[in-house]
Amino acid sequence: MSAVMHEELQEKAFRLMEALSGVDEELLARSEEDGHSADHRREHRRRVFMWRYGKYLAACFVFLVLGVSAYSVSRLSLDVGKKQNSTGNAGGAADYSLMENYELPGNNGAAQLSPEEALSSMESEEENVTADTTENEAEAPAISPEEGAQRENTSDGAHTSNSAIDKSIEAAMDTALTLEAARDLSVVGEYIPKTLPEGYRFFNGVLLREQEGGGYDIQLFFRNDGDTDASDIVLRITDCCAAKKTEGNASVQEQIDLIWPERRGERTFVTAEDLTAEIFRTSDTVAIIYDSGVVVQYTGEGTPEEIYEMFLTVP
Amino acid sequence: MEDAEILDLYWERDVRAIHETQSCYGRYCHSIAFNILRNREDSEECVNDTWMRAWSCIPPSRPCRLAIFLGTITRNLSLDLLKRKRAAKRGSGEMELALDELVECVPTAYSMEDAVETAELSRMIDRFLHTLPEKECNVFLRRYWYVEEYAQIARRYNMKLNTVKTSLFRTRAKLKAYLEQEGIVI
Repeated sequence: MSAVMHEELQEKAFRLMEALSGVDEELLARSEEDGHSADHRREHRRRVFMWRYGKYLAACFVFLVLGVSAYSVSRLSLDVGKKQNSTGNAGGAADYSLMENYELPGNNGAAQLSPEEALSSMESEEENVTADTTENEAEAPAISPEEGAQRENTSDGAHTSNSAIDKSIEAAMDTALTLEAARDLSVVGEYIPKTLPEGYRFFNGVLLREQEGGGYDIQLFFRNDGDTDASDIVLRITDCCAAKKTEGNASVQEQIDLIWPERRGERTFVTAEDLTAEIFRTSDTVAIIYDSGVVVQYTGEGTPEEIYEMFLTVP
Repeated sequence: MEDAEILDLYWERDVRAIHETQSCYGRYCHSIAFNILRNREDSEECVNDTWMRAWSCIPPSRPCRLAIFLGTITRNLSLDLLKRKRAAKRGSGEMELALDELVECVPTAYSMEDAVETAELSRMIDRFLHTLPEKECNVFLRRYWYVEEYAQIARRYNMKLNTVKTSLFRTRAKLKAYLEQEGIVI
Protein backbone atom coordinates (compact mmCIF):
# COMPACT_ATOMS: atom_id res chain seq x y z
CA MET A 1 0.00 0.00 0.00
CA SER A 2 1.42 3.32 -0.98
CA ALA A 3 2.02 5.94 1.67
CA VAL A 4 -0.52 8.28 0.10
CA MET A 5 -3.20 5.62 0.05
CA HIS A 6 -2.45 4.63 3.60
CA GLU A 7 -2.72 8.22 4.69
CA GLU A 8 -6.03 8.54 2.90
CA LEU A 9 -7.33 5.47 4.68
CA GLN A 10 -6.10 6.85 7.95
CA GLU A 11 -8.06 10.02 7.28
CA LYS A 12 -11.16 7.89 6.94
CA ALA A 13 -10.29 6.02 10.11
CA PHE A 14 -9.98 9.41 11.75
CA ARG A 15 -13.54 10.16 10.69
CA LEU A 16 -14.65 6.93 12.29
CA MET A 17 -12.81 7.94 15.41
CA GLU A 18 -14.57 11.32 15.39
CA ALA A 19 -17.92 9.70 14.73
CA LEU A 20 -17.41 7.57 17.83
CA SER A 21 -17.68 10.75 19.91
CA GLY A 22 -21.41 10.67 19.41
CA VAL A 23 -22.07 7.21 20.82
CA ASP A 24 -24.70 6.64 23.45
CA GLU A 25 -23.66 7.89 26.89
CA GLU A 26 -25.21 4.78 28.40
CA LEU A 27 -22.70 2.61 26.57
CA LEU A 28 -19.82 4.77 27.69
CA ALA A 29 -21.01 4.80 31.27
CA ARG A 30 -21.36 1.03 31.13
CA SER A 31 -17.82 0.62 29.85
CA GLU A 32 -16.63 2.69 32.82
CA GLU A 33 -17.88 0.10 35.24
CA ASP A 34 -14.96 -2.23 35.66
CA GLY A 35 -16.79 -3.71 38.63
CA HIS A 36 -18.45 -5.96 36.10
CA SER A 37 -15.48 -8.27 36.01
CA ALA A 38 -15.21 -8.07 39.77
CA ASP A 39 -18.78 -9.31 39.98
CA HIS A 40 -17.85 -12.19 37.74
CA ARG A 41 -14.85 -12.99 39.90
CA ARG A 42 -16.99 -12.88 43.02
CA GLU A 43 -19.57 -15.15 41.41
CA HIS A 44 -16.83 -17.52 40.28
CA ARG A 45 -15.32 -17.65 43.77
CA ARG A 46 -18.75 -18.31 45.25
CA ARG A 47 -19.33 -21.17 42.84
CA VAL A 48 -15.94 -22.70 43.55
CA PHE A 49 -16.57 -22.43 47.27
CA MET A 50 -19.99 -24.02 46.95
CA TRP A 51 -18.59 -26.79 44.76
CA ARG A 52 -15.75 -27.56 47.15
CA TYR A 53 -17.44 -27.15 50.49
CA GLY A 54 -21.14 -27.18 49.68
CA LYS A 55 -21.43 -30.96 49.98
CA TYR A 56 -19.75 -30.93 53.38
CA LEU A 57 -22.00 -28.14 54.57
CA ALA A 58 -25.05 -30.00 53.29
CA ALA A 59 -23.93 -33.20 55.02
CA CYS A 60 -23.35 -31.34 58.29
CA PHE A 61 -26.78 -29.80 58.03
CA VAL A 62 -28.43 -33.17 57.41
CA PHE A 63 -26.59 -34.70 60.39
CA LEU A 64 -27.61 -31.81 62.56
CA VAL A 65 -31.25 -32.15 61.61
CA LEU A 66 -31.17 -35.91 62.09
CA GLY A 67 -29.43 -35.53 65.44
CA VAL A 68 -31.93 -33.03 66.73
CA SER A 69 -34.84 -35.16 65.51
CA ALA A 70 -33.42 -38.33 67.07
CA TYR A 71 -32.77 -36.54 70.34
CA SER A 72 -36.31 -35.12 70.44
CA VAL A 73 -37.90 -38.48 69.64
CA SER A 74 -35.80 -40.29 72.23
CA ARG A 75 -36.67 -37.73 74.92
CA LEU A 76 -40.31 -37.96 74.03
CA SER A 77 -40.43 -41.75 74.07
CA LEU A 78 -38.54 -41.79 77.36
CA ASP A 79 -41.02 -39.42 78.97
CA VAL A 80 -44.02 -41.27 77.63
CA GLY A 81 -42.56 -44.60 78.73
CA LYS A 82 -42.14 -43.26 82.25
CA LYS A 83 -45.73 -42.07 82.34
CA GLN A 84 -46.94 -45.39 81.02
CA ASN A 85 -45.06 -47.25 83.69
CA SER A 86 -46.37 -45.03 86.41
CA THR A 87 -50.05 -45.14 85.35
CA GLY A 88 -50.10 -48.67 83.94
CA ASN A 89 -52.62 -47.40 81.44
CA ALA A 90 -53.33 -50.04 78.77
CA GLY A 91 -54.58 -47.45 76.39
CA GLY A 92 -51.34 -45.57 76.79
CA ALA A 93 -49.80 -47.34 73.84
CA ALA A 94 -52.54 -46.15 71.59
CA ASP A 95 -52.25 -42.64 72.95
CA TYR A 96 -48.48 -42.80 72.57
CA SER A 97 -48.87 -43.66 68.92
CA LEU A 98 -50.92 -40.51 68.69
CA MET A 99 -48.22 -38.64 70.56
CA GLU A 100 -45.64 -39.73 68.05
CA ASN A 101 -47.57 -37.95 65.39
CA TYR A 102 -48.10 -34.93 67.54
CA GLU A 103 -45.54 -32.25 67.33
CA LEU A 104 -45.18 -30.84 70.79
CA PRO A 105 -44.27 -27.24 71.26
CA GLY A 106 -41.21 -28.02 73.37
CA ASN A 107 -39.49 -30.75 75.32
CA ASN A 108 -40.26 -29.19 78.67
CA GLY A 109 -43.90 -29.02 77.86
CA ALA A 110 -43.84 -32.61 76.67
CA ALA A 111 -42.31 -33.80 79.89
CA GLN A 112 -45.15 -32.26 81.87
CA LEU A 113 -47.96 -33.75 79.79
CA SER A 114 -49.62 -37.11 80.15
CA PRO A 115 -50.94 -38.71 76.95
CA GLU A 116 -54.46 -37.70 77.95
CA GLU A 117 -53.33 -34.20 78.65
CA ALA A 118 -51.48 -34.20 75.40
CA LEU A 119 -54.63 -35.35 73.62
CA SER A 120 -56.78 -32.74 75.29
CA SER A 121 -54.06 -30.21 74.62
CA MET A 122 -54.12 -31.24 70.99
CA GLU A 123 -57.85 -30.80 70.91
CA SER A 124 -57.72 -27.48 72.65
CA GLU A 125 -54.94 -26.32 70.34
CA GLU A 126 -56.98 -27.37 67.41
CA GLU A 127 -59.80 -25.33 68.85
CA ASN A 128 -57.39 -22.47 69.37
CA VAL A 129 -56.22 -22.78 65.83
CA THR A 130 -59.80 -22.78 64.63
CA ALA A 131 -60.58 -19.87 66.90
CA ASP A 132 -57.48 -18.03 65.68
CA THR A 133 -58.47 -18.70 62.13
CA THR A 134 -61.99 -17.54 62.86
CA GLU A 135 -60.59 -14.50 64.59
CA ASN A 136 -58.35 -13.77 61.68
CA GLU A 137 -61.22 -14.31 59.36
CA ALA A 138 -63.31 -12.01 61.51
CA GLU A 139 -60.54 -9.42 61.32
CA ALA A 140 -60.08 -9.98 57.64
CA PRO A 141 -63.45 -10.62 56.08
CA ALA A 142 -63.77 -13.50 53.64
CA ILE A 143 -62.34 -12.63 50.26
CA SER A 144 -63.54 -14.24 47.10
CA PRO A 145 -60.88 -15.14 44.50
CA GLU A 146 -62.12 -12.30 42.34
CA GLU A 147 -61.84 -9.88 45.24
CA GLY A 148 -58.45 -11.30 46.05
CA ALA A 149 -57.31 -10.75 42.53
CA GLN A 150 -58.78 -7.28 42.65
CA ARG A 151 -56.98 -6.55 45.91
CA GLU A 152 -53.77 -7.84 44.49
CA ASN A 153 -54.27 -5.53 41.61
CA THR A 154 -55.04 -2.73 44.01
CA SER A 155 -51.91 -3.40 46.01
CA ASP A 156 -49.98 -3.48 42.78
CA GLY A 157 -51.74 -0.31 41.90
CA ALA A 158 -50.62 1.25 45.15
CA HIS A 159 -47.11 0.18 44.37
CA THR A 160 -47.40 1.53 40.89
CA SER A 161 -48.80 4.76 42.14
CA ASN A 162 -45.94 5.07 44.63
CA SER A 163 -43.39 4.57 41.92
CA ALA A 164 -45.42 6.91 39.77
CA ILE A 165 -45.15 9.48 42.53
CA ASP A 166 -41.41 8.87 42.74
CA LYS A 167 -41.18 9.32 39.02
CA SER A 168 -43.23 12.48 39.15
CA ILE A 169 -40.94 13.78 41.88
CA GLU A 170 -37.97 12.90 39.74
CA ALA A 171 -39.64 14.57 36.84
CA ALA A 172 -40.33 17.62 38.97
CA MET A 173 -36.67 17.92 39.89
CA ASP A 174 -34.73 20.14 37.59
CA THR A 175 -37.76 20.71 35.42
CA ALA A 176 -37.33 23.47 32.91
CA LEU A 177 -39.46 26.51 33.69
CA THR A 178 -40.68 29.31 31.53
CA LEU A 179 -40.88 32.76 33.08
CA GLU A 180 -44.67 32.60 32.97
CA ALA A 181 -44.73 29.18 34.64
CA ALA A 182 -42.33 30.47 37.30
CA ARG A 183 -44.54 33.49 37.99
CA ASP A 184 -47.52 31.16 38.39
CA LEU A 185 -45.82 29.16 41.16
CA SER A 186 -47.26 29.90 44.57
CA VAL A 187 -45.19 32.18 46.84
CA VAL A 188 -41.89 32.07 44.91
CA GLY A 189 -43.62 33.42 41.79
CA GLU A 190 -44.30 36.70 43.60
CA TYR A 191 -40.61 37.23 44.26
CA ILE A 192 -39.54 37.32 40.64
CA PRO A 193 -38.56 40.91 39.85
CA LYS A 194 -41.13 42.72 37.76
CA THR A 195 -38.50 44.50 35.71
CA LEU A 196 -34.98 43.52 34.75
CA PRO A 197 -31.95 45.71 34.19
CA GLU A 198 -31.79 47.09 30.69
CA GLY A 199 -30.70 44.62 28.01
CA TYR A 200 -31.40 41.51 30.10
CA ARG A 201 -33.84 38.88 28.99
CA PHE A 202 -35.12 35.68 30.49
CA PHE A 203 -32.86 32.86 29.31
CA ASN A 204 -33.66 29.74 31.25
CA GLY A 205 -35.40 28.53 34.38
CA VAL A 206 -35.33 25.38 36.45
CA LEU A 207 -37.54 24.01 39.18
CA LEU A 208 -34.80 22.65 41.41
CA ARG A 209 -36.97 20.96 43.99
CA GLU A 210 -40.10 21.13 45.98
CA GLN A 211 -39.50 21.54 49.72
CA GLU A 212 -40.98 19.06 52.14
CA GLY A 213 -43.51 21.58 53.38
CA GLY A 214 -44.61 22.36 49.84
CA GLY A 215 -42.50 25.46 49.09
CA TYR A 216 -40.68 25.67 45.81
CA ASP A 217 -37.01 26.20 45.05
CA ILE A 218 -36.42 27.66 41.62
CA GLN A 219 -33.53 29.08 39.67
CA LEU A 220 -33.89 31.67 36.95
CA PHE A 221 -31.25 32.69 34.52
CA PHE A 222 -31.24 36.08 32.77
CA ARG A 223 -28.77 37.07 30.11
CA ASN A 224 -27.61 40.26 28.54
CA ASP A 225 -25.87 39.34 25.29
CA GLY A 226 -24.10 42.70 25.23
CA ASP A 227 -21.94 44.00 22.43
CA THR A 228 -18.93 41.88 23.16
CA ASP A 229 -19.38 39.66 26.21
CA ALA A 230 -22.55 38.20 27.62
CA SER A 231 -23.36 38.92 31.25
CA ASP A 232 -25.70 36.92 33.37
CA ILE A 233 -27.92 37.23 36.38
CA VAL A 234 -28.94 34.10 38.23
CA LEU A 235 -31.70 34.24 40.81
CA ARG A 236 -32.42 31.35 43.11
CA ILE A 237 -35.73 31.84 44.85
CA THR A 238 -36.39 29.49 47.74
CA ASP A 239 -39.44 29.29 49.88
CA CYS A 240 -38.02 28.42 53.27
CA CYS A 241 -41.46 28.11 54.86
CA ALA A 242 -41.06 24.34 55.08
CA ALA A 243 -37.98 24.73 57.23
CA LYS A 244 -39.71 27.38 59.28
CA LYS A 245 -42.59 25.01 60.00
CA THR A 246 -40.23 22.20 60.89
CA GLU A 247 -37.93 24.14 63.12
CA GLY A 248 -40.43 26.28 64.99
CA ASN A 249 -38.47 29.17 66.41
CA ALA A 250 -35.33 28.68 64.34
CA SER A 251 -33.78 31.87 63.08
CA VAL A 252 -33.91 32.64 59.38
CA GLN A 253 -30.18 31.95 59.15
CA GLU A 254 -30.72 28.51 60.70
CA GLN A 255 -33.55 27.88 58.29
CA ILE A 256 -31.30 28.73 55.39
CA ASP A 257 -28.60 26.47 56.75
CA LEU A 258 -31.12 23.67 56.63
CA ILE A 259 -31.55 24.24 52.93
CA TRP A 260 -27.96 24.97 51.98
CA PRO A 261 -25.99 23.08 54.62
CA GLU A 262 -23.15 22.38 52.24
CA ARG A 263 -22.10 25.93 51.51
CA ARG A 264 -23.14 28.04 54.45
CA GLY A 265 -21.26 31.22 55.02
CA GLU A 266 -20.26 31.63 51.40
CA ARG A 267 -22.82 34.26 50.59
CA THR A 268 -23.81 37.57 52.07
CA PHE A 269 -27.12 37.39 53.87
CA VAL A 270 -29.20 40.49 54.22
CA THR A 271 -32.78 41.12 55.22
CA ALA A 272 -34.99 42.86 52.68
CA GLU A 273 -35.17 45.96 54.91
CA ASP A 274 -31.39 46.32 55.05
CA LEU A 275 -30.82 45.87 51.32
CA THR A 276 -28.75 48.62 49.70
CA ALA A 277 -26.96 48.99 46.38
CA GLU A 278 -23.67 48.94 48.31
CA ILE A 279 -24.15 45.31 49.25
CA PHE A 280 -24.03 44.32 45.59
CA ARG A 281 -20.80 46.23 45.24
CA THR A 282 -19.08 44.16 47.92
CA SER A 283 -20.47 40.70 47.18
CA ASP A 284 -21.19 38.72 44.04
CA THR A 285 -23.62 36.44 45.81
CA VAL A 286 -26.25 38.00 47.99
CA ALA A 287 -29.10 36.16 49.67
CA ILE A 288 -31.99 38.47 50.50
CA ILE A 289 -34.20 37.23 53.27
CA TYR A 290 -37.83 38.27 53.27
CA ASP A 291 -40.14 38.20 56.29
CA SER A 292 -42.30 35.57 54.63
CA GLY A 293 -39.44 33.08 54.79
CA VAL A 294 -38.58 33.41 51.12
CA VAL A 295 -34.91 33.81 50.24
CA VAL A 296 -33.88 35.29 46.91
CA GLN A 297 -30.27 34.59 46.11
CA TYR A 298 -28.65 36.79 43.53
CA THR A 299 -25.49 35.94 41.61
CA GLY A 300 -24.46 37.94 38.61
CA GLU A 301 -22.64 40.63 36.81
CA GLY A 302 -24.97 43.63 36.63
CA THR A 303 -24.03 47.00 38.08
CA PRO A 304 -24.93 47.35 41.78
CA GLU A 305 -27.40 50.16 41.09
CA GLU A 306 -29.37 48.34 38.43
CA ILE A 307 -29.47 45.16 40.49
CA TYR A 308 -30.67 47.12 43.48
CA GLU A 309 -33.37 48.73 41.35
CA MET A 310 -34.37 45.32 40.10
CA PHE A 311 -34.89 44.17 43.67
CA LEU A 312 -37.03 47.20 44.39
CA THR A 313 -39.60 45.67 42.04
CA VAL A 314 -39.84 42.60 44.28
CA PRO A 315 -42.70 43.05 46.75
CA MET B 1 -18.48 17.19 45.59
CA GLU B 2 -21.46 15.68 43.82
CA ASP B 3 -22.15 16.38 40.16
CA ALA B 4 -25.37 18.20 41.02
CA GLU B 5 -23.49 20.57 43.33
CA ILE B 6 -20.86 21.26 40.69
CA LEU B 7 -23.61 21.95 38.18
CA ASP B 8 -25.23 24.31 40.68
CA LEU B 9 -21.96 26.22 40.86
CA TYR B 10 -21.89 26.52 37.07
CA TRP B 11 -25.45 27.73 37.12
CA GLU B 12 -24.61 30.27 39.76
CA ARG B 13 -21.71 31.38 37.54
CA ASP B 14 -19.40 30.63 40.41
CA VAL B 15 -15.80 30.19 39.23
CA ARG B 16 -15.28 27.52 41.85
CA ALA B 17 -17.21 25.30 39.44
CA ILE B 18 -14.05 25.04 37.38
CA HIS B 19 -11.85 24.25 40.38
CA GLU B 20 -14.26 21.59 41.56
CA THR B 21 -14.54 20.12 38.07
CA GLN B 22 -10.78 20.04 37.84
CA SER B 23 -10.37 18.30 41.16
CA CYS B 24 -13.08 15.73 40.38
CA TYR B 25 -12.50 15.10 36.69
CA GLY B 26 -9.02 16.51 35.99
CA ARG B 27 -7.27 13.14 35.94
CA TYR B 28 -10.07 11.50 33.99
CA CYS B 29 -10.04 14.13 31.24
CA HIS B 30 -6.27 14.28 31.23
CA SER B 31 -6.03 10.53 30.65
CA ILE B 32 -8.41 10.77 27.70
CA ALA B 33 -6.43 13.61 26.17
CA PHE B 34 -3.08 11.96 26.89
CA ASN B 35 -4.15 8.63 25.34
CA ILE B 36 -4.90 10.49 22.13
CA LEU B 37 -2.13 13.07 22.06
CA ARG B 38 0.69 11.35 23.98
CA ASN B 39 1.94 14.75 25.00
CA ARG B 40 1.60 16.18 28.47
CA GLU B 41 1.50 19.85 27.50
CA ASP B 42 -0.99 19.31 24.69
CA SER B 43 -3.14 17.23 27.02
CA GLU B 44 -3.13 19.96 29.63
CA GLU B 45 -4.07 22.50 27.01
CA CYS B 46 -7.01 20.33 25.93
CA VAL B 47 -8.13 19.79 29.49
CA ASN B 48 -8.03 23.53 30.22
CA ASP B 49 -9.99 24.16 27.05
CA THR B 50 -12.47 21.56 28.25
CA TRP B 51 -13.17 23.60 31.41
CA MET B 52 -13.68 26.74 29.37
CA ARG B 53 -15.98 24.91 26.96
CA ALA B 54 -17.96 23.49 29.87
CA TRP B 55 -18.20 26.99 31.43
CA SER B 56 -19.75 28.37 28.26
CA CYS B 57 -22.10 25.39 27.79
CA ILE B 58 -23.45 25.16 31.35
CA PRO B 59 -25.96 26.78 31.58
CA PRO B 60 -28.12 26.37 29.58
CA SER B 61 -26.95 22.72 29.42
CA ARG B 62 -27.41 20.57 32.48
CA PRO B 63 -25.76 17.26 31.57
CA CYS B 64 -27.01 14.11 33.25
CA ARG B 65 -23.55 12.58 33.30
CA LEU B 66 -20.97 15.23 33.88
CA ALA B 67 -18.04 12.82 33.43
CA ILE B 68 -19.15 11.66 30.00
CA PHE B 69 -20.04 15.23 29.02
CA LEU B 70 -16.57 16.49 29.95
CA GLY B 71 -14.88 13.40 28.51
CA THR B 72 -16.58 13.93 25.17
CA ILE B 73 -15.47 17.56 25.06
CA THR B 74 -11.90 16.56 25.91
CA ARG B 75 -11.92 13.84 23.31
CA ASN B 76 -13.21 16.13 20.57
CA LEU B 77 -10.71 18.85 21.45
CA SER B 78 -7.90 16.31 21.50
CA LEU B 79 -8.91 14.91 18.14
CA ASP B 80 -9.04 18.42 16.70
CA LEU B 81 -5.61 19.19 18.05
CA LEU B 82 -4.23 15.92 16.78
CA LYS B 83 -5.68 16.59 13.37
CA ARG B 84 -3.94 19.95 13.29
CA LYS B 85 -0.68 18.41 14.38
CA ARG B 86 -0.96 15.55 11.94
CA ALA B 87 -1.33 18.02 9.14
CA ALA B 88 2.14 19.23 10.01
CA LYS B 89 3.72 16.03 11.13
CA ARG B 90 2.71 12.42 11.31
CA GLY B 91 1.91 11.45 14.90
CA SER B 92 2.90 8.41 16.88
CA GLY B 93 1.89 6.25 19.77
CA GLU B 94 -1.31 4.49 20.69
CA MET B 95 -3.54 6.79 18.67
CA GLU B 96 -1.66 6.02 15.48
CA LEU B 97 -1.91 2.32 16.18
CA ALA B 98 -5.61 2.64 16.90
CA LEU B 99 -6.08 4.55 13.66
CA ASP B 100 -4.16 1.92 11.74
CA GLU B 101 -6.45 -0.70 13.15
CA LEU B 102 -9.55 1.29 12.31
CA VAL B 103 -8.43 1.47 8.70
CA GLU B 104 -9.70 -2.12 8.56
CA CYS B 105 -13.23 -0.84 9.20
CA VAL B 106 -13.29 1.59 6.32
CA PRO B 107 -15.74 0.19 3.74
CA THR B 108 -14.05 -0.95 0.55
CA ALA B 109 -16.12 1.12 -1.85
CA TYR B 110 -15.80 4.79 -1.16
CA SER B 111 -16.37 8.01 -2.90
CA MET B 112 -15.54 11.45 -1.68
CA GLU B 113 -18.55 12.91 -3.47
CA ASP B 114 -20.97 10.80 -1.46
CA ALA B 115 -19.28 11.41 1.85
CA VAL B 116 -21.53 10.60 4.76
CA GLU B 117 -22.11 13.25 7.40
CA THR B 118 -20.32 12.49 10.66
CA ALA B 119 -23.58 12.64 12.54
CA GLU B 120 -25.11 9.96 10.37
CA LEU B 121 -22.01 7.84 10.67
CA SER B 122 -22.09 8.33 14.39
CA ARG B 123 -25.70 7.20 14.49
CA MET B 124 -24.86 4.07 12.54
CA ILE B 125 -21.94 3.21 14.78
CA ASP B 126 -24.10 3.77 17.81
CA ARG B 127 -26.70 1.42 16.40
CA PHE B 128 -24.03 -1.12 15.63
CA LEU B 129 -22.63 -0.94 19.15
CA HIS B 130 -26.06 -1.64 20.55
CA THR B 131 -26.10 -4.94 18.67
CA LEU B 132 -22.88 -6.11 20.33
CA PRO B 133 -22.66 -8.18 23.50
CA GLU B 134 -21.89 -5.99 26.50
CA LYS B 135 -18.31 -7.07 27.01
CA GLU B 136 -17.42 -6.82 23.33
CA CYS B 137 -18.92 -3.35 23.18
CA ASN B 138 -17.07 -2.26 26.32
CA VAL B 139 -13.75 -3.49 24.97
CA PHE B 140 -14.35 -1.69 21.66
CA LEU B 141 -15.18 1.58 23.40
CA ARG B 142 -12.22 1.37 25.73
CA ARG B 143 -9.96 0.97 22.73
CA TYR B 144 -11.48 3.40 20.27
CA TRP B 145 -13.23 5.93 22.48
CA TYR B 146 -10.75 6.13 25.33
CA VAL B 147 -7.81 4.96 23.18
CA GLU B 148 -6.62 2.68 25.97
CA GLU B 149 -3.84 0.15 25.52
CA TYR B 150 -4.66 -3.53 25.13
CA ALA B 151 -3.03 -4.34 28.46
CA GLN B 152 -5.10 -1.68 30.24
CA ILE B 153 -8.30 -3.10 28.81
CA ALA B 154 -7.28 -6.63 29.72
CA ARG B 155 -6.64 -5.53 33.30
CA ARG B 156 -9.87 -3.58 33.51
CA TYR B 157 -12.04 -6.50 32.42
CA ASN B 158 -9.87 -9.27 33.82
CA MET B 159 -9.27 -10.72 30.35
CA LYS B 160 -6.27 -12.21 28.65
CA LEU B 161 -4.37 -9.92 26.33
CA ASN B 162 -5.01 -12.17 23.36
CA THR B 163 -8.71 -12.34 24.14
CA VAL B 164 -8.84 -8.54 23.99
CA LYS B 165 -7.03 -8.52 20.66
CA THR B 166 -9.27 -11.24 19.23
CA SER B 167 -12.39 -9.50 20.47
CA LEU B 168 -11.31 -6.22 18.86
CA PHE B 169 -10.36 -7.95 15.62
CA ARG B 170 -13.79 -9.57 15.38
CA THR B 171 -15.62 -6.38 16.27
CA ARG B 172 -13.72 -4.42 13.63
CA ALA B 173 -14.64 -7.04 11.03
CA LYS B 174 -18.27 -6.89 12.15
CA LEU B 175 -18.26 -3.10 11.98
CA LYS B 176 -16.85 -3.12 8.50
CA ALA B 177 -19.48 -5.62 7.35
CA TYR B 178 -22.19 -3.58 9.06
CA LEU B 179 -21.14 -0.30 7.48
CA GLU B 180 -20.88 -1.89 4.05
CA GLN B 181 -24.23 -3.56 4.46
CA GLU B 182 -25.77 -0.21 5.40
CA GLY B 183 -24.22 1.36 2.36
CA ILE B 184 -22.09 3.73 4.39
CA VAL B 185 -19.43 5.52 2.43
CA ILE B 186 -16.71 7.42 4.14
